[in-house]
Amino acid sequence: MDINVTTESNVAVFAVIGQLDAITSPELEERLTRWFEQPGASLVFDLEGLDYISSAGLRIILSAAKKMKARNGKLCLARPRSRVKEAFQISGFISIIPSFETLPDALAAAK
Amino acid sequence: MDKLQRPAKMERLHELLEFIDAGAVASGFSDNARNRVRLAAEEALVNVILHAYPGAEGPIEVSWAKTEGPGLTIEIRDGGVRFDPLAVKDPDTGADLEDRKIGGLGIFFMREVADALSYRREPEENILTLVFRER
Repeated sequence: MDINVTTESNVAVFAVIGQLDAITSPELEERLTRWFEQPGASLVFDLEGLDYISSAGLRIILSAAKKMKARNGKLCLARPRSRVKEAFQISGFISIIPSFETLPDALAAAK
Repeated sequence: MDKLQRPAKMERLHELLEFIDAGAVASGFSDNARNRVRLAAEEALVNVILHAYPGAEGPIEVSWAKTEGPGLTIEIRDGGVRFDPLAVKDPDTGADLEDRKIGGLGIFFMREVADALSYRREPEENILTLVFRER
């Protein structure tokens, strides 16, 4: 699993590539913990390269969304693959974390 | 039934999942069905790894068999503390962001993606059976 973090016009983009499962998720959790040490208020998870997510990964994304809400920031998902979108749907997260089919739409919503 | 026993430790998770995936492949499952199997199996295995042997170590045994359909039956056994994952309450998937609790998701997932689940306790063993069909 790889995580590439970039910034596009003040929005942090976490591109997650590969699989988020019980073994790989802690690494994302660590990167996010470090990111939350700064006062950033806009974050997009670019999920184009993510081909699997289990409850371990979903939990970390939910936790990030809650932290973001607590600091009045915005967190969005961009271009989840259908299988990953399904996982968000089953968990109900799709209703509480905004998700967009394109990266530009997600970036615009996160500003 | 094909069978594999390993120590119930996180570093064995991928090996156990690969063993189960081999069962899904042998059953002729599509990629989607294989994904569902992996999702449910991961949740079941992680529960055992994290909770079955508090402060101790113990084995986990996984076996699988093809069934008509095509279908796949998986059995996960451990000698740990009594734990019935089917007795755990579902999380509130309609809650909004502040109210949504972080926990409880794994078992819910397992129940949503498997076609049938059953649990039984035999002397000193938890036995979880998961059934999948190609859909």
